Amino acid sequence: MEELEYPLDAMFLLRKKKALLRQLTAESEGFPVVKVAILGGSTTDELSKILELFLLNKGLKPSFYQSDYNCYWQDVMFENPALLDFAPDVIYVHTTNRNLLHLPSVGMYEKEVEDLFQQSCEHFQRFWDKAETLFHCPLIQNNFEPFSYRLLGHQDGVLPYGHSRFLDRMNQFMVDYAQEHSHFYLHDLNYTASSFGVERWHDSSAWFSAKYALAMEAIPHLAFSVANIMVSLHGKNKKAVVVDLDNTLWGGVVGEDGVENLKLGLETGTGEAFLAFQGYLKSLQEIGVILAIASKNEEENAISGLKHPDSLLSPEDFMSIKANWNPKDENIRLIAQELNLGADSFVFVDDNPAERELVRQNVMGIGVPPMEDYATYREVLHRSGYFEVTNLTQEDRARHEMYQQNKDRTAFCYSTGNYEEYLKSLDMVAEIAPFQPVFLERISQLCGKTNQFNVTTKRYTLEEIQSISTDEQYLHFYGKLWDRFGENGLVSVVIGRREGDRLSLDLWLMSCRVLKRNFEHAMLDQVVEACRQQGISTLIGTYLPTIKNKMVASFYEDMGFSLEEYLEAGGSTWKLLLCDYKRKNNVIKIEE
Amino acid sequence: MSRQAYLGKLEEIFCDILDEDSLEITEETSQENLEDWDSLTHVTLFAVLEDEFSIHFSVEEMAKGTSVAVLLDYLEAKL
Repeated sequence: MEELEYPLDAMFLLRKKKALLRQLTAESEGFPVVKVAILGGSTTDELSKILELFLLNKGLKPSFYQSDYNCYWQDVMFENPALLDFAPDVIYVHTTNRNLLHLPSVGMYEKEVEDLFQQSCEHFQRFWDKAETLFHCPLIQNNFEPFSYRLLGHQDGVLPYGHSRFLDRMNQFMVDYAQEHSHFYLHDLNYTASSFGVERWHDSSAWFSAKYALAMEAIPHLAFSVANIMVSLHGKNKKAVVVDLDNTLWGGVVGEDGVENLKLGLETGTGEAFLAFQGYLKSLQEIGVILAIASKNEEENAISGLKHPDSLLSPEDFMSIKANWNPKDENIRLIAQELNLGADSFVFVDDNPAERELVRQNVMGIGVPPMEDYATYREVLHRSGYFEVTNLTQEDRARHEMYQQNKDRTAFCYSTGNYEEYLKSLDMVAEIAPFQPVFLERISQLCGKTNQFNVTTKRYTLEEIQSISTDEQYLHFYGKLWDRFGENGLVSVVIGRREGDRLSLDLWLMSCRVLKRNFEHAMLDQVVEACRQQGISTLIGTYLPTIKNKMVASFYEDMGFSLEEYLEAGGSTWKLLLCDYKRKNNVIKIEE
Repeated sequence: MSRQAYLGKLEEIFCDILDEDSLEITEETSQENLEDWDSLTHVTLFAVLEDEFSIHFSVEEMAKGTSVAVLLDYLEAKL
């Protein structure tokens, strides 16, 4: 819904929130439910209502728990039964500088201030530790925003008893905590408020009237910012940027002006602006965002533009280049197919408002930020919040390279002919083993974002994966795959739960990066072998349909399971007796 | 603008905030007799009024502005 994308009209959202909620709820069938506990140090009602809109807009269906006014600390420390019953999937702690109760007084000695600081740290640390013990779920914590006034002016951040100095140190303390606790996610309220404007952010009338710690008008901006973290935690970030070329990556029209006349480079302000945007895209690629092109151009001209001597981006940076005269929505769908991604995980960047409108109307769920002034392309794309980083793994950083290798593989496939021969010629090697601590983060990330090859689409948090990895009731497997072109990384996960001499397969997923490589055969071989060693005689598999996982509707049948029964809503259960199972994989070498 | 015209504006605002197209607002409408006009809605209402008419309300005005009649008095005095 465009109203819920950057740039926000905050007053419109406050005024129309009920109507928007009605519309969004009508289309929310099948969305995963997320239980959000908002633990507030001030009033949070409006915040929860607006947050609900943003989450629904990104395909999540939240239910909320709100602590009573300013009871965030008590709720956790004294184990409020209502909160325990609620069993949150994610906790958001909405504390603000209003919750820094014991601030230094003018003239205090350094030692006294230090004691206050330690007490304040301890207050929060005990709370976070306890929340982790009780709930094992991600916790999003505001840092502190600038005060609405500074008694000591510019010295407020310098003098030992300055309140701003105290606040800065608290913020540093939170950073230190975040670095040592993987479930703890800092929400940078300090930045959010500053970006909005500290003077407008604070509204003491709202505080004295209703104990809101920020202006009503700021609440949608806060909710948007927090929602982006939750969206990212649930694997719903956008994954790719599809860019236009002329007047988007460079100034001018390459087909008419010629490469030599494009505005790109440090000679002019305009050229520098386009160069800066290219640099930003290159950085997005480094954090795992895929780049592609949809441009109305002759392909030859497009490529020659990308070979401009000052261009930071080159043709190799793009996983797909569609430079032709077809409608852009069609090109975008083709790119989605090529990359095995949903077009709803794309962001479309184009300076032309007509193209943006066409794509917005014809590609459901795609992000279309308002790129109106080339000097601010970076900022607009950033503020749109599509790529909030929560778990930045090695794999994210290497993703571009992996997709590049995939392109090479496809080219290679066409040159060989026989498919099994092709698979053999890939020299694939797999490592398939029980979960190991170093991979848990990657495993939970895969659970969160794999939609297509995911037979049950059961989502697990990092904490749940951790506990499964040490629970003897479970058999669990990850699979990594290499081939002659490089490493594909950790791409498959299977979780089975023992029920006597049966193993019930709660989860079977595989990254689309390795589709049609017979890797699922290799996984099943290893699952069966582990089962035999454990005295398990039967595998039980369940298919639970979603809008996105049709490709695995006949997965268990293809794997040689026999049908047990059909379930409601198109699901099914399947059985495999292990006594006459024969190994399936003959194209992948298994590392011992 | 006349008091009647302000009443019309107020009705629009109430309809939006409460998401009820056919809501009718009169001088007699108040927090007492309009169930959905709760304390949460009240805060939203004042934020919207401030934005719509580019005016400001004091903390006390907000506390006492719990009926349409009083809101109309405010608007007439401020605009």
